[in-house]
Amino acid sequence: MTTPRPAPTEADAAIEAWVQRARGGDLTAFNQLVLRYQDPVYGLTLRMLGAPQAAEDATQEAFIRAWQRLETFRGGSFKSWLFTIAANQARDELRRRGRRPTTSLSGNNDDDDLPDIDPPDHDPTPLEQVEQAELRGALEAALRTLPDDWREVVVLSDIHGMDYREISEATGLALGTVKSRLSRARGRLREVIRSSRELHEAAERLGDRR
Amino acid sequence: MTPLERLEERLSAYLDGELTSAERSAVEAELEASVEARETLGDLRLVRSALATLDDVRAPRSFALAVPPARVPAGGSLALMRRLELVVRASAAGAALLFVVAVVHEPMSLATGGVAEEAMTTFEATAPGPETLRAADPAGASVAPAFAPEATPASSQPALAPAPANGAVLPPSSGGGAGEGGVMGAAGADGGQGGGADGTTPADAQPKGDLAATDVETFATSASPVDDGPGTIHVPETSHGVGGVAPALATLTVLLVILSALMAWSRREDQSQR
Repeated sequence: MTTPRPAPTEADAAIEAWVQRARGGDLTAFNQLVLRYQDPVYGLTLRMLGAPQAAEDATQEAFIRAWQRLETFRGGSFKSWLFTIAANQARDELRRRGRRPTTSLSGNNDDDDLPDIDPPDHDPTPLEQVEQAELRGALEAALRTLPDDWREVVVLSDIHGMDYREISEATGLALGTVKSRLSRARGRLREVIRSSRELHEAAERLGDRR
Repeated sequence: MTPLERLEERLSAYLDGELTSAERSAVEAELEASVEARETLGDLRLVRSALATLDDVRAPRSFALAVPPARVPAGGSLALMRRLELVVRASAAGAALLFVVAVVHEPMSLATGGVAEEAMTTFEATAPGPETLRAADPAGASVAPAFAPEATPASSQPALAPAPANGAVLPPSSGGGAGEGGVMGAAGADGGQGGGADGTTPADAQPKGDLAATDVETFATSASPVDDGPGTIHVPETSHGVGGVAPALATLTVLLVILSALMAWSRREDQSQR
């Protein structure tokens, strides 16, 4: 796990209960699960597809399929199971498009293509805020230039906190492939961070001189 | 892979706690010794934590379901479809066997030993299921090219549908002669195509629907000589010995094989949309 896996909590128990009731045909219980997970599921499909409308469609379709296949959920992490369905949905969409989506979107500087992002919870200094906003923007842009296969893996791992085994299950990739794609994606993003940092250092030097 | 990429891969897995203890010790030693390794690790850590802050996208609307969509029955309609497909395949194999039996009852024997055995293998293999179907594929493939050439010189009607049955069942001793060679050629070709195509369907179906579509076309082309079979088969013994039964069974077999290919194809289409 890239982020610490929380110990079972009351929330987990509630999810388990909703899953059970939804299995029994309780749509209200299922919709509780939808409301709980729609943000990360939408976030995942948006990152994979790069376009809000396509992400909406994939998200809706993922929840419909989740309802339809609830019988096949064998316990474990419901979120991982749901993400597997959503990632499949997004991957199918990419396949339908002929695998040429997001790189072209990065050249298309339409604000609609940028995800709707809320500021982080902690309160950074104004300078940090600027830096972080810039870094985020740079990372978002860099993410969109990654090959679809790499992006899927790095999004599942570093944005959604899935471990190698979970990613392997969600994508059908071998563990070794998960490991290498993740590392390649991070390596590419590392260049972005380095250049962003160099830019800041240069700006600071310029400020000092004044 | 460049040395830097290799380093990044080691450190990336180290960061995720996905290394064995031996690998971890090696990386830690490397970190102590190398500035570059430490810098790279620092950067990768930064990338990871920066990405973690991107986890705050909000859904633009509620995706709650207003009405419950129809549920896929336990095991899934896919599984149901798969079972149906197996039934169709089994029927195809059954029809092929019946066809074999029908032709065997014909007085004139037309087999040669090696061919009979190989053809038999192909036919037997079609029966049980996808796994053995796949196994049958090479057999079918090897039969087809080996015997198809013989067919042309030996007989003026190479694509004789009912022939494979003869070859398949009759004991080696009952065979021999030019006519048989021709008929067996057809048997080999037919067995090869039928068995091969049948066998490849599940495998082909996996990557792409259009491959399966090609299969269907293959079936269609292989079907035409078979369908023409009753008219064009001029081996006299066959025509009066088996009458309309064998050609009918052959046609049935081919139709079932086509149906099964179509089912596999539509299943793939369906699956790819999921």
